[in-house]
Amino acid sequence: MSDNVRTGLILSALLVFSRLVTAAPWWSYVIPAFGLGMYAAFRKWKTACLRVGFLTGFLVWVCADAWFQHSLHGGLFRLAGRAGGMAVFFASGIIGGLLSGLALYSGKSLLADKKSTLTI
Amino acid sequence: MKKIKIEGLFPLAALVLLIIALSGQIFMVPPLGKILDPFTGLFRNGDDALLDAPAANITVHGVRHPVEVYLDERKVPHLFAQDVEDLYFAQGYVAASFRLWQMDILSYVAAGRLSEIFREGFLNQDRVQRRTGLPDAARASLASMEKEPETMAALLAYTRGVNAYIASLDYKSLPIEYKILDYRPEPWSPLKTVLIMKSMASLLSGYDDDLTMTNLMLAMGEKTFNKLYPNFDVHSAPVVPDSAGKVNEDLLYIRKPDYLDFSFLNTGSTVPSTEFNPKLGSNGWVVSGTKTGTAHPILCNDPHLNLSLPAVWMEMQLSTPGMNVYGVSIPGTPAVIIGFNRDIAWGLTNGADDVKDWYKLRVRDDYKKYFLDGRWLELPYSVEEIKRRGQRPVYDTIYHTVHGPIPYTKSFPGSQGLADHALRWELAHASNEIRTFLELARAKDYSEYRAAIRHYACPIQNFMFACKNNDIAVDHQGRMPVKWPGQGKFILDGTRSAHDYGRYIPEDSLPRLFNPACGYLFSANQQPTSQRYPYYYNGAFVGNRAQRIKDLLAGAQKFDVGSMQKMQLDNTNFFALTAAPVLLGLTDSNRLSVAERGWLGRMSRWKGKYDRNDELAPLFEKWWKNMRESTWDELRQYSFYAKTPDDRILLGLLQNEPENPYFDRIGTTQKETAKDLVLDAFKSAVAEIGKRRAEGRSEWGDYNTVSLMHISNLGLFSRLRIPSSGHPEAINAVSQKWGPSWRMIVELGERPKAYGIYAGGQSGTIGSPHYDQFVDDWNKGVYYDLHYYENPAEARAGATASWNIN
Repeated sequence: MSDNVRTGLILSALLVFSRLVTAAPWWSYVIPAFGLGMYAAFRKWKTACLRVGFLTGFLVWVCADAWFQHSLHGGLFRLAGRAGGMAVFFASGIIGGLLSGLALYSGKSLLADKKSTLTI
Repeated sequence: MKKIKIEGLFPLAALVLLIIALSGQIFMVPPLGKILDPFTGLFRNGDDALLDAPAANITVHGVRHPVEVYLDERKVPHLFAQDVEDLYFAQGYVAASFRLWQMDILSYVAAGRLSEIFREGFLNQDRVQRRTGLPDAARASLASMEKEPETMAALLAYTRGVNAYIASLDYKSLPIEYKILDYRPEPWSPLKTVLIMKSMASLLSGYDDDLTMTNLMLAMGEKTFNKLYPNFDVHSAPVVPDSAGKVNEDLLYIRKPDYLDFSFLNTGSTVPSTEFNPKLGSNGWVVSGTKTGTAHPILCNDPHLNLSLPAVWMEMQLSTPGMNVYGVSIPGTPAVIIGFNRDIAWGLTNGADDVKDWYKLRVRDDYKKYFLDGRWLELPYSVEEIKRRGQRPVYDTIYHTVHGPIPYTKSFPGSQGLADHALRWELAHASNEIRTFLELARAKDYSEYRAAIRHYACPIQNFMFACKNNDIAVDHQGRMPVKWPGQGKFILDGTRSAHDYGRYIPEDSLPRLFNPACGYLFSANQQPTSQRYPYYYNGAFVGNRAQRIKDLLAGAQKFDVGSMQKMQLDNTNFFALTAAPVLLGLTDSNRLSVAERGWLGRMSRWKGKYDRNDELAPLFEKWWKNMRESTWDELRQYSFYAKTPDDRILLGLLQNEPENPYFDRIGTTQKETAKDLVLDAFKSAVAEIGKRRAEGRSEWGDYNTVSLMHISNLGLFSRLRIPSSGHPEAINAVSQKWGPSWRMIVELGERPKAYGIYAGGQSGTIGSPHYDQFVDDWNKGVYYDLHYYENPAEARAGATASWNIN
């Protein structure tokens, strides 16, 4: 299993579990993502943190959006139409991806030694 | 060995900045990070979990005995409690569950506190709201309610219920509007309830043409003014007809008050904009058993209000031992406002009286003194702190005179015409309207109904009443001041205390009709009395809908629920029905083209119906609009021109004075008569309609589109431009953004049978199927059965969901 895939899978789980605590602030998921970045640096994983973090965050957010819309009878799509609903999904995914990617990257950058590779 | 890299802090700093930026509002952009979070943001809204759950057990502090709530197939809650305090607690809880943000934001509007939510754009609105005295009036009313135990107990119970719901909310379950506007609900209070009641009263009593009328009287002179802007329409059917007593000439002809001259009115003529819509009217009528096939009385009511989402009304049934009432309530207030119980039914139409008067003051430039009865008096003031979101508070000084507060000082933006005028408004006085509705809920007969409505003060309303024993009544109820002729119609002299009034028409002299011999009665914002009423009054009365209702009620021997539904949905414009033949009679067809003659021929067969698919209604509308504009072109020369004479005045001129100088257009060499204007107006209307038809707009529904705006004015949350039947002058008064906000028909008998619908849906949750569930049916003229359950077992059998509040 490549480091990218491994990191992505762990990050997915961390993102979901951290946000299931709904009393925590909306940005609470960046903390485990940041920690995972540090752990990846510690373990010298060759992870493209920004890319993997963004993609994972984007997918987790969009999938969660879709799940809640489905389970809550699609109120958003009823209201905003298909195109409007998709635009909101996309915007949500961008935010989830951006913060996850940046948190993972920050964690890894903070601890990386000079020889470690940061592939973007 | 790993080390902390200094340059590694840069992405971390970027992350922190991004989080900060996405956590709060930036200009008009909501906190995107919060609201687009799938786990707690707006994706978690859009369902009504509590409404759709088959059963819910709700544990709260504050109820003595469990309250059973059954939601029927339209999510109308039927509440069954052991005592009234538990009942109003549950009503508060249920109302908040359905409509929390709506009731909350209305309380902010009424209190002049919108600047606490919105960063920009509402400061002056907040200032005016406070300066006109509505929050003070609410506080004074609450103080008087505190002396009345029953009202206060209901208010406190309702408040506890709302707060129990608020306490159950976390961010995830907040209504979507809170998330977008990024604030949380504050605890509810009895004051918020009273503020909402006052706000509703303000909506219905904002008529103030005083400055316009003053300018017109001065510019036209007494005779012309009375001809074009008569105080009284002798041809209109009043709420309370009276053929006895002598004619009150003071109602019919208004003399120019002695103090009124150009030296008195030397300020600017610009009238500050007002949100009052004179077309906000209502219909109500009652027929006794002598006029129905079942021998039971039928009461019909459709109050016309601004149409919004969530709707102004919420349906519910409230039941305790000794009380069982069904109707519509205003979210944020206890009891039901319009409804019925086992014995009686009642409805409301706006009285449309002028309850808002302006006094021109002499004030020193430094606002330290004002002039009254030959002396300079200290000008009292108070300072209001207006909190603003993200900014320092504004401290606004409000000046108070013996007449009332000064809403507009000279420096206030857009206030030229009414700067340094004091406002006297009946709304500003302490009153307890809530008591009326608490008592109506359990009233059993006419005397109990009368006892209940005695507490009702402002705005003046026509209360329509029916009892299963076949008593029927209408009461023009409220505080009607005793005024001298013309008092309050024009700007009053604020330097004289004699221009104040302190007496009110005695309760037993208010216009009232009980069990008329004809077997029916009606009100539709027309004049409350005949010209024989001994007291002077004025207002924004309209007569066309009332006349149509009268014609229909007088024209049939027997009615049933079906015929009443047809009446409420009647799209015939009484005025158009009357005016079209007059216009046709004045049209010289020889001067028309073949195509125009074709339209004229079709128009001669038109019955004044504003059905959605009617093709002639747009033509008549345009034709009459052209007539109005070309006839009153002289009036438009006035810089202060803001009010066209009533259409009946123009119709009277067409019928009786076709050579009247007003028909002579300014700026032309020849002298035009009514015939010339009618012909030109018709030709122009046909040309205009031809263009519109080429664009695909041929039916009335293409012109008469109705929009139900979300209270926030966000189009996304609204239902916009729905083609509709109806007209402001038709009984079915659907137009643009207002119309019959609640249609109700109740037949009383052994057990009440009731039908109704409102434009909206029970839920305030945007995206929920119950948010706008009734809109399409309302627009089609569908009525729902209103389930009046006698006991919890019946309600349980008809329920789709049930709550147990314990």
